[in-house]
Amino acid sequence: MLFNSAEFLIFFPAVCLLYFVLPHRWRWALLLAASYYFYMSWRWEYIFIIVFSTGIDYFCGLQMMKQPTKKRRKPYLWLSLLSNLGILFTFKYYNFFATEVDKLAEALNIAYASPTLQWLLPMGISFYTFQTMSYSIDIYNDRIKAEKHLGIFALFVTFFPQLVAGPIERASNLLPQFRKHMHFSYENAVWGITKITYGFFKKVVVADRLAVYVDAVYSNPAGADSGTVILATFFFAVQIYCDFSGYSDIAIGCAKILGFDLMENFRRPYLAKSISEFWKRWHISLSTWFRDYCYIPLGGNRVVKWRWYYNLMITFLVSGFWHGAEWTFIIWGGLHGAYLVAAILLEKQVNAGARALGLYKIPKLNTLLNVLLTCGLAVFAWIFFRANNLPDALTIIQTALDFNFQLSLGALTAGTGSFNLVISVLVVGLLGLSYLLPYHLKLKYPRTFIVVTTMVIVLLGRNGDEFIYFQF
Amino acid sequence: METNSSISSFKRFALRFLLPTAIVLAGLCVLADWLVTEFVVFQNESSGAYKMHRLFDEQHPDEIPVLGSSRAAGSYMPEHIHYQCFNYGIEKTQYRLTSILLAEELAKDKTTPIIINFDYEFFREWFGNMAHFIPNLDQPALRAFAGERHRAFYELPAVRYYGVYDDYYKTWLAERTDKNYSSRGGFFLKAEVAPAAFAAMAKKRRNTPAGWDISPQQDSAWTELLSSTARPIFVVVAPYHSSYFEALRNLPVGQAYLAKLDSLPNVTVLDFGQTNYPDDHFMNTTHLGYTGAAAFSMELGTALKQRGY
Repeated sequence: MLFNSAEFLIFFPAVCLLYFVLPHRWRWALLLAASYYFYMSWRWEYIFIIVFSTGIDYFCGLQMMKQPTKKRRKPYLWLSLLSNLGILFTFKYYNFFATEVDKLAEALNIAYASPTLQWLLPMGISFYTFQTMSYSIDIYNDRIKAEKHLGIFALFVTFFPQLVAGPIERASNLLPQFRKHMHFSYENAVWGITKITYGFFKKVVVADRLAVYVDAVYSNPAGADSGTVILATFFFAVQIYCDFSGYSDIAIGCAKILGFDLMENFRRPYLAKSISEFWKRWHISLSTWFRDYCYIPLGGNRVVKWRWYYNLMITFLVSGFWHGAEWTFIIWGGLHGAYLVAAILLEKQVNAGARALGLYKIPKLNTLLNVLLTCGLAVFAWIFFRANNLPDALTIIQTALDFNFQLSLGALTAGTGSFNLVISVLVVGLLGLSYLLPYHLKLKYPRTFIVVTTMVIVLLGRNGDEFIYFQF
Repeated sequence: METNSSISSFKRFALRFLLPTAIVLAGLCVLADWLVTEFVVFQNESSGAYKMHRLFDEQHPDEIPVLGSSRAAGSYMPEHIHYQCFNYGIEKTQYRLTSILLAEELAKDKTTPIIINFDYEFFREWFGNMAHFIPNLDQPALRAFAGERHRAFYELPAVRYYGVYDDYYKTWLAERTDKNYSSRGGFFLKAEVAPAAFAAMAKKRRNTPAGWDISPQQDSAWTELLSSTARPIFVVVAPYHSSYFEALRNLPVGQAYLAKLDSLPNVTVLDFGQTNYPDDHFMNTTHLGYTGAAAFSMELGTALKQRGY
């Protein structure tokens, strides 16, 4: 079931109504049933994978609680991690490795063909496996206690607003909320609807509109000129932000109406002044997950310099690989790791240069340049994220660097028509305008915002594809 | 106490927020729907939505309609065919939809001839763009044709056009630029296709086999419909590029079918399909461009004059 579907428009109000009508002791059951229904409306048979993951982690959590030392908890931690990573590997990464093994065999003149799996990638698998792994790791590290109520734990794994595309919640934040007796709150409902409306605006007005242009260019990069690929890449940067943050907004808004607080997942990332700050604003739930469960356990920055750079690169390479079983995602992650390492290595020189240019005397200009540079680096990396394959990514870069600008409307519109291009620019402008609103969306006139934004959605919205992050 | 606070909070939310918001939204949607329908959708003569509205809801007793697909929309210049001609060509309109439109036309108290563009894909099951149907779903025949594509939100003002506003805006704009020519329902692109690009299209067409096909049920129903009227019906095959026929595997079978239609007392087949127009007369291998449409329409007009129309 998609958020932007008629089914959800009926499903969600029905769940809300039943939720607040039911006695508190049965609400977890309603939410669990609703969450399973939500997931099974996509493919019912894949619920067994979630149930399996839930069972393993519930068992491992309880067993770890019984062990007095980390040494005795370790086997259960390994069981949890291997089960979740095993599921992830099987459905998401097996075919990638099988293909690479075949390529290696071919290069070594060995006659071998790996069997491949023809299974659909379960929706949300990268999200809920990471969510449950964080639960197990936190118990192992004595940060939280195991949840004894199987139903509430199962709800933590499958809570429908954030099940398929995050935010990746921590047990310490979400589990206690399921035990709270939530009351219907006027303020929560108004804010939740405001957030949901804004999320839909970002998704169906901005992201789905820009996708038309981006898909046209990236499906045939060889046929585009420099201006077109640069514009398409810029559009993709906005598209993926709106698609993903839009989903997060809808998830957060839905949860808020029910009384639950999910973590904020995006904080206007393209206003970051450095790549380091970018990752404190982009997909925050994932970046903090990798910080806490990958980067810090590796030693973080409390190690010798070369090891620090190594930790950064490993963390971001794995993060890239999390996004997809393709070399392009790994390169995308690696690029961001390289950006961070370069920022550390060149910090003194950059500061000296800025001082020499007198930029510190003009803070606003300094900030603007930093923001533009960060945006540029992030947008460049998106080329690899979006391209269908590595050769296409290199073609895009080559075309952009050719500075071959065909000054024709046909080239600039990439075959999608001048109307679509004009509306694409318009909706990016509308997005920019929305940044004048308070970041937290606690508005003085929420009704006006909801009415105006809903009409914009009706008049300019498109029937787009699924949310991009569903493929992860 | 806690339950009471939830109930009162919900009442406050429903009465002070949800209801007023819903009322304002409903009012705006009704207004937007009326504005878009009256000033955009039904102002686009060349759009499928307007054509269906015109056919079903308006009376033009002296009009000679041209029915058919995008080949009709882009090949028949009404002013060159007959001064009373109107082009009802709509993309992806084949047998099933043409039957519905023809039946509606035949129900009118008219004696003028009817022109039906014939494609060699005429009996394929195509649906086309829902945007053509949405403003006309009050017509039972079109609603039935939409079938399972019909959604509940098509009944809601403004919301019914969600996702297809682009189609109406683009058509509205396209009719008002000098890059195109539109006239009485016909829409013709003036831009010429570069020779190299057209050659590539023709090559691709030659490598795309196609075939004429009809089922006995379709044959029977179509013949019955054509024969149900005394009004003269002209079944016209608009020109194709020669590469199309190189890929069409059973042209003689299709032509035999046309001959069979021609034997019906009120039907005359005018086959311009293999008229040897040069490449620059075409937009692609199955559709004429502006120049080709003008030339073909004049020939068709002459053919009608020779038959007393």
